[in-house]
Amino acid sequence: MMLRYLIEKEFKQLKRNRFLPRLILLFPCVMMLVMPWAATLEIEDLRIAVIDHDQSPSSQRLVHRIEASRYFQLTALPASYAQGLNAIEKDQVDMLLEIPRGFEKDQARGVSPSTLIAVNTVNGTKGVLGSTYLQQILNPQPSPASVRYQFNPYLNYKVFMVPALMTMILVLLCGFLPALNVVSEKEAGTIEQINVSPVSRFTFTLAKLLPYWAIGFVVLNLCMLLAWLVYGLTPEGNILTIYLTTLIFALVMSGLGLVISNYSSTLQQAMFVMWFCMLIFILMSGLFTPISSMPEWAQYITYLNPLRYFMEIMRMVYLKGSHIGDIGFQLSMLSTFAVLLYVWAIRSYRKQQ
Amino acid sequence: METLIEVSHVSKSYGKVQALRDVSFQVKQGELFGLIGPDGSGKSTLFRILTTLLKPDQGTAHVLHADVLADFRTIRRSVGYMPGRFSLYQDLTVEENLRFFATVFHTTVEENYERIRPIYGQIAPFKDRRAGALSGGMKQKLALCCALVHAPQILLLDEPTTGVDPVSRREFWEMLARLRQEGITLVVSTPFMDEARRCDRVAFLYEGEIKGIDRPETILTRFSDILCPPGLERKTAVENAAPLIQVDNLVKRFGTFTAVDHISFSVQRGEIFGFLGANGAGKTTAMRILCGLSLPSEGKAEVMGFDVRTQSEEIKRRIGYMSQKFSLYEDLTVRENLRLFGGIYGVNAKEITTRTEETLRRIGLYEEQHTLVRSLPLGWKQRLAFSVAIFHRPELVFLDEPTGGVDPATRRQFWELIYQAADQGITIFVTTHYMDEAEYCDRISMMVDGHIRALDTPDGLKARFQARDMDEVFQKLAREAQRGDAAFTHAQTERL
Repeated sequence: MMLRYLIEKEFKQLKRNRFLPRLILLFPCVMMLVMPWAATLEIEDLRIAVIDHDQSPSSQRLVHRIEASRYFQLTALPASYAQGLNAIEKDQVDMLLEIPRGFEKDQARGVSPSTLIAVNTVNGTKGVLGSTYLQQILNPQPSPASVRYQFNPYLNYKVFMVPALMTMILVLLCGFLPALNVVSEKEAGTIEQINVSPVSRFTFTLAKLLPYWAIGFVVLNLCMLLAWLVYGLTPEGNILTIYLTTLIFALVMSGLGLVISNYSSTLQQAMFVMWFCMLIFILMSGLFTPISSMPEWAQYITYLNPLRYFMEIMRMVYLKGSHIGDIGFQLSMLSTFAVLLYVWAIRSYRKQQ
Repeated sequence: METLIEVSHVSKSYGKVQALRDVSFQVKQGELFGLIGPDGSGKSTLFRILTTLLKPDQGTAHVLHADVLADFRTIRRSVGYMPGRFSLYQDLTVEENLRFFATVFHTTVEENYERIRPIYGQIAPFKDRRAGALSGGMKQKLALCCALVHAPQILLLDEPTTGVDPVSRREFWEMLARLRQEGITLVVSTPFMDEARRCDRVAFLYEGEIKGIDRPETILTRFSDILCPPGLERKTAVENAAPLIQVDNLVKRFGTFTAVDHISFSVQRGEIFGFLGANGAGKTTAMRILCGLSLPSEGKAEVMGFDVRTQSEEIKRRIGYMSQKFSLYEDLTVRENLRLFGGIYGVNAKEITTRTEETLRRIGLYEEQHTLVRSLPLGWKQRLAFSVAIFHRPELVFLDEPTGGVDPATRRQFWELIYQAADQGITIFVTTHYMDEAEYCDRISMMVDGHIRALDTPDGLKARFQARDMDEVFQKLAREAQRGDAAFTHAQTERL
């Protein structure tokens, strides 16, 4: 009964806010429409310079093959290795290919020709992948094993990113908004009027949570709609599984937000602590970098990261079509986090100092 | 005497609201010029125009012969300004604040130290303390030092003494008088009529227009219906049954500091109980304990038979509370606030509607029921906050400085509401800095340094201290204080 009035108040305040409702809609749109294109780890259009000492039909063919590849962009044909290296230093090219004199002759004799590849590996992944691509062009040998790509057959990076971005949107909305909301009540002094009233800690916390739960749910649906319209991506698994997990996850994030707000006295403080947590959660969740390639100690830390479980569930259900049975471990971990953070949020909210 | 401030036909509006309408006046060198008028009458707007922070829509204003529009740099260099809310950096120490303001004005504290020495001397013992940890009176002295650090010729002060106790206010005005003798021109706005009387001339501003400029006595007589309303009369009907509040040796410590030191008192049902004391005497702390917002360190306190330590939720259900700082939701309308708090206290939906109608009419806010609380004048907000506090018909209501910063007529209207509530049998527990309000209480307790020094009816206290009015009683008692603002002055005098 009391809860109804409190929730009504939250929604009225949200509606009065000129900025927040727009942000809540705009934010997922920008994230879903822009980020999958921008936040990609695919290596394309490497700038390459070829130093062709041979100047034979064979070496010309090789240069054409490189030009035709979508991974490379031929930007220069320097006369010497020194000139090429200079171009790398000036950041005009990413890699060099030096074709030696006698390249065609060697090929005709059946000796594998010795070419030199020099790569700028300031960005390691980019350099290594680039040189691998280039070697494949140099020695196009049939692969001894046949590869079948499962769940993402065209190796589309967007497919991998979309569920992760949905996670990130939920983290930011459901984590930040309740925290900032409670702290701004502290700053305005309105929380004092609530603290002298019979509103219980549980009711107050719940009234702060439920609206953001609803918002999280609306935003999730908006994201899924956009994923379908723009990328033609629909969840492989049961949509209800996604809903259930999202509800639990929204609870975890808003619980964390409420805990932080209970310990913060200014917006600045709450904002900073929240951002600190978020950054660690996101970077250690497997969103951009796979957890399995982290050092062992870091992998253990990720077990304490609720985002990790949600990210896994989203990718499993969305892309692999996993059933609720497959995600039992992740789901139970998330639920544990939800319960712990809620108890903590209610405990740390003090009506009496 | 030379004219230093000349305002002619200035108008200013914010959207549809006309804040100032054709305002003209002059201030001569060395004058102490007062600005009085109800909340929202345009005083702060006028200050902001004089300090070149705001541009007038029409008319011209000259300060030190410089135009506020064309020559604002000259004005900013030679004018000191103390805005209504302290503009100190709470996280910087006293000394750091002062140095900061000196640097901003391209000067040093040492250069103009003689000017601020008499004032700064009083707070110098606390120069390493964070400004946020100072009491109201000390903050005000520091803010004054910061406004004086660049040796301005003109000092503009916008309600500098709001929320400050009578002793500190008196000291503050003594400082202003000293500055005036040194030849500084002062323009001060104030909601206190005793302060208005100390000005050379006052302007009475009402709804953006100047209604009169004259000697204080003349203005106060001419507009006595607003500025000096007649006192209120009340038949007291205090029952001598079981007390509603019973406090025994209550103590509250914050670290090594004892804010409330073994106080004992009781409040009877139906009483209007005034809780008085200087800034930092421990009033608010004691009140917060009784409301269940704060836990006592020692001692016992019962409110309506419930222990504040263990049964605070039971107490909260039965009391109303209005805090010092306005604490309703500014982004909800008048009606929505009443509805929300009605719902929180479990008043049923039908009853909320009828009580809302009744309340809105009684406090004269019926027309404004769909207005956002944010846009109401302070006096109206206070009336609304009081109505919210008694909406669920509690037996007891706590009011913490409910009328800070509003004019006498508005305060009197507020007290009419308090009397109405008292007539319905609601017990009132109120703190205030206004000594005329103290006279409206049935009984008064005076807190000094965390102790209760006196507790009696206003007449009883006046007789005991051989005082004409409550102000004198207060001055006599608060002078004894070892801590708080009066004590600092005291300590300083001994040091010299």
